[in-house]
Amino acid sequence: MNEQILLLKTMLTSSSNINVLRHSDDKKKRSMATGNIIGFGFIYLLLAMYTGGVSFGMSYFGLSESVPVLPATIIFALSFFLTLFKAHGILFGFKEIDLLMSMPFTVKNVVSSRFLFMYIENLKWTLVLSFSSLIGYIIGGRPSALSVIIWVVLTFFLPVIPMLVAALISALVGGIGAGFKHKNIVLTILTFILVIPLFFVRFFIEDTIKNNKIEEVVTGSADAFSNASDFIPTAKWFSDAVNDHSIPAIVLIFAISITAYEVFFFVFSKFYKRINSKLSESHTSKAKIKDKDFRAESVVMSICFKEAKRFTGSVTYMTNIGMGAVMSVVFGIAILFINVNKMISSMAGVEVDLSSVSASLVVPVLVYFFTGMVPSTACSMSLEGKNYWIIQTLPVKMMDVLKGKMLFNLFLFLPVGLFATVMSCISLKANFVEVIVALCFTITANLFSTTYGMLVGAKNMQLDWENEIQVIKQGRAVASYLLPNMLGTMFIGGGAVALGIAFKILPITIGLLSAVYLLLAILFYSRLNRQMLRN
Amino acid sequence: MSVLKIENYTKIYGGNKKACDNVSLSVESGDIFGFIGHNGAGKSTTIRAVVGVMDFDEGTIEIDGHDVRKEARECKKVTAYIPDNPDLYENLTGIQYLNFVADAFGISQAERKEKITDYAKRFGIADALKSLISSYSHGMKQKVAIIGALIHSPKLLVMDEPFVGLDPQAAFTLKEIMHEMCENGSAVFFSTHVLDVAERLCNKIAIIKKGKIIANGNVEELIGERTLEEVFLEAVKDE
Repeated sequence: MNEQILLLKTMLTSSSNINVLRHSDDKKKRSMATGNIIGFGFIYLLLAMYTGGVSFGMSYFGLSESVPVLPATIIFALSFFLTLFKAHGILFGFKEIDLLMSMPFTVKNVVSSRFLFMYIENLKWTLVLSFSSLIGYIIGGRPSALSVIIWVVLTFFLPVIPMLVAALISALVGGIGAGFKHKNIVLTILTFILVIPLFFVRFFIEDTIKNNKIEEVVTGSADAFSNASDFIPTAKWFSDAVNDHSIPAIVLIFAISITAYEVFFFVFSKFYKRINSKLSESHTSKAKIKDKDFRAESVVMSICFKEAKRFTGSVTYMTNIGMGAVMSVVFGIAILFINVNKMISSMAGVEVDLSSVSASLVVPVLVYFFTGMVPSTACSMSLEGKNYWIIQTLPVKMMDVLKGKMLFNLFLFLPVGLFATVMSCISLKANFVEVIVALCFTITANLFSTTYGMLVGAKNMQLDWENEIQVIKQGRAVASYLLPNMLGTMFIGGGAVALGIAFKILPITIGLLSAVYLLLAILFYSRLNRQMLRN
Repeated sequence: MSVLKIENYTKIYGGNKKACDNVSLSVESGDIFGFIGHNGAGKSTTIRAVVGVMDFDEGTIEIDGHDVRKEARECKKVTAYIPDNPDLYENLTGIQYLNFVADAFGISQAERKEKITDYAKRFGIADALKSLISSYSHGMKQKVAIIGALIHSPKLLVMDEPFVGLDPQAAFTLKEIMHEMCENGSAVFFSTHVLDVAERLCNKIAIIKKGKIIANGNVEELIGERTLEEVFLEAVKDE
């Protein structure tokens, strides 16, 4: 069997839920695997309905030619960002590196099979997005058979270029960071420096996509996706290939994907061992122990400190979970200098004029999208992994362990959330009541995300992972948190803001929303307490 | 009173496979109890149930008179566990890990300082305690795990293959500590494949085969004039 296929097959099998269902007798593991399949199936279904619906609407109203850019743009953005946050954990420092390197595989095959693993994982989203869009396109636009064939074939190539760009960034960051003593911190900072400007590009892409509402399409006011294709070449080539059967566009997608793949892995494999060895190097301290090193702490503080060290010790953990905290700080600073209407319009994807309302009360809801995106509590129990025996054998209350983990999440997100809120209050010259309500909202919303994350994190603990990515990005606990929190914030938070603006009672609606978050936080906390007492 | 009392302990995997079947044994104060058997015989499964890492299906396990399922925290307060593979918090330094364990057991600053300094010196690891655990060798991690286990002066020390990865000096120190603990009224329960160590170190031994105890008692009574290796090989020989 081809080396790459053998490596890829092994990786896919070891991370597959279906493999667990086939071979495990453990009922808990089987039910978790089933839950994973159902949960992700539900998310794929929602995504397919959304993309298919938009494509159908666009085709139905006579703008079939704009449809191919839609999936191509979303696939580009998703593939790029998902790979960027995963690549370091998958390409470097994986547990079986010594084993694989000692076997007769070429470095290129070992590394490229890791990339292909990410590609196959990513292909699930790609196929759902592309094919659901294609179905909407076929029903609404009646394209030619050749267009459909080109669409289907090129779909498999669409994620390659953005994924390679993300992998290249990750390799460069790894290469630069490997030379430093505190490499985890350096790698994380470099990733943030690269990602934050791109995040605003993402806002622009989202803005372009979100503005492309059916009504606007009907009135012909927006050919929004053509804007996206201006700066996403693969979207333009895909559109040209499907709409005009353009041979150069098809050749470009094939040629650049294959050439870039070959060139990247040819070069990367030459430097891989050196980078990976440098990254796995550890520096020993020659410092002597002093009296202060023996300082006693409470169990909760001790767990909190341990969690902080776990956080700063992992690039994957820091970049994925810490992103929200960094974005809050950036937002807090930006709001002092940038017109709030413009910034909120860009984030919300619709034109917003907040000049006549208490905008300082709208901002905390938006800040919560950052601080409440994914709390550390959703994955911290799973991240205990093989170390879980330590907690299990200590004479501590499990609730104290959870309190320590929740405390760390609050240390991470609450100060930055309050910072962004205070900055917005200063920038928007909020009055006393608005400041109090805004601060209350930030505090209660973060209490909610912390306790809700802890609840799903403790319930969906997954300890036998091979790579942190499996629990930080793909874990059932994180998925269980993400969707309800995102939808809840969009509908309940958005509803409170909309009602408040419409009836000019924003302090009341945001105050009520804070009360709801506080009640939910108390409810989740007591539930955790009860569950831990039972255990 | 027994420090560890296992009665009719049974662990079933996958609905029908008995990993441990009706295991009963007793470890008294002052005992160094060796638990030996082939790979997969049920040693680690028993040990993990004793220290509260793994649940089980039938029977009872008591530590210092407390049931491990009903009074888990009381049991853990007097027990220490060293697993076969010391998976510790890689992102903590040695001293941070030991402080974490000391905090969990509520050990005062003065007491932890005295114990950590003493044990770290005995195991020759004092200079490495401010380095990250991720930079340690297997043996160094094992030493930190041992110090962490001893920090609260446990009544029962449970170890799974404790000598794997330890250098000769550290192995000697550990044996010395095991004797000291027993002289002070504690007990040690450990699994090992090193039969001559078990023969010289332990006063009691149990042999487990396919999840069942096939021999259990004082070393002298069990082996008589023979070596433990001869007794073990004969006992585990398939009929």
